[in-house]
Amino acid sequence: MPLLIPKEIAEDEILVHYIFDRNFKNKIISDEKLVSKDMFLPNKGGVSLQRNFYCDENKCKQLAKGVAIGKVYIGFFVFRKSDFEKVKQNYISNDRSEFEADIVSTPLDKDFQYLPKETKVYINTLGNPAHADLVYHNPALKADESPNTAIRSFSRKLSKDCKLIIDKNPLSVDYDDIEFKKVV
Amino acid sequence: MALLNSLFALNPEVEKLSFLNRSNIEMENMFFDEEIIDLKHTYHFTGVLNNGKSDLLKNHISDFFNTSDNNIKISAEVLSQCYSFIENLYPSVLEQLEIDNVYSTPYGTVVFDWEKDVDNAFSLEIGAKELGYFIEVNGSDDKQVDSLLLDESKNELLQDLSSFLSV
Repeated sequence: MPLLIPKEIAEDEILVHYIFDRNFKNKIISDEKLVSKDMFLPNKGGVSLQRNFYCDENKCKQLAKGVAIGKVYIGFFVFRKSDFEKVKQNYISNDRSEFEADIVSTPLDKDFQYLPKETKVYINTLGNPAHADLVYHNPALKADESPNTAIRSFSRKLSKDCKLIIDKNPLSVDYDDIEFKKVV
Repeated sequence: MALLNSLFALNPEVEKLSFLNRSNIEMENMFFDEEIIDLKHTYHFTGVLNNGKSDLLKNHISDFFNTSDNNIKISAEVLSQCYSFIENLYPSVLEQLEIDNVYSTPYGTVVFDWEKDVDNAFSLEIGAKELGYFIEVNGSDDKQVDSLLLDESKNELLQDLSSFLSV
């Protein structure tokens, strides 16, 4: 029986965000040149993440390369759910009392469309069953071409608690660099 | 001594000091002279420097307008708001902005980050009609401005920016 993926994201779960060349200033790949400030700015929907407990490093790499159209796969940005909660609490206490954001399970089917919420997914379900979204509820993302100050500031603060992994062998199929759980 | 005086005469700042020893009538004339000296030298010289930086910045931002990549593309409206903002900046404020720290967002705005270090930054975002910014000092926000109309809020923004940079 394959492993059922729980809807709830546990405190110690590792969340993974793909990194591409465009995340670096002038596409120069180095720690200093990472534009980490805008790493967690949402597109429509949210900020896409992978749940590492249910999606190992090899699968993350395979999926990242699959969406690297017009951009080049570089590696990952990783953090624990508890890091996110800590940054959020600090943000509410120190920077903005009215702020709501959450990380929710949002499994995708084989065409990268959202599955209905109640669908049960297993570790081997076709598509991307270990997908999650960071969603900003209050304030939510505004209409296009409008400033999103609260979201940008939070994104900047969260990125400081994340670890950047630049894949040493980006061209290889399998991931053979450091395990995510060893850096966060 | 004659050589020294003629050397000083090349520097308008030194010229200004020597006004203190002259009569009022003479001073009026000398202000007029100084204006000419400045127009020829100081003004012109700094003008060239500033144009260089603001042209570089404008070129950098026009790349976001010209790109076919929808993840970083901006509209003509946002581009023109950025241009008019840059033209309003004091030269010293412009000098402290790294071109690399100007980037576009997935939803079509442009961000300008004046970053002293990882925990101290002035981060401004310009959209089609509004701007927003936050001022991070020692890791926490001193101020968050969600949105102001671009045409009406330049003074407050420029004041906040100048005081952040002079701290």
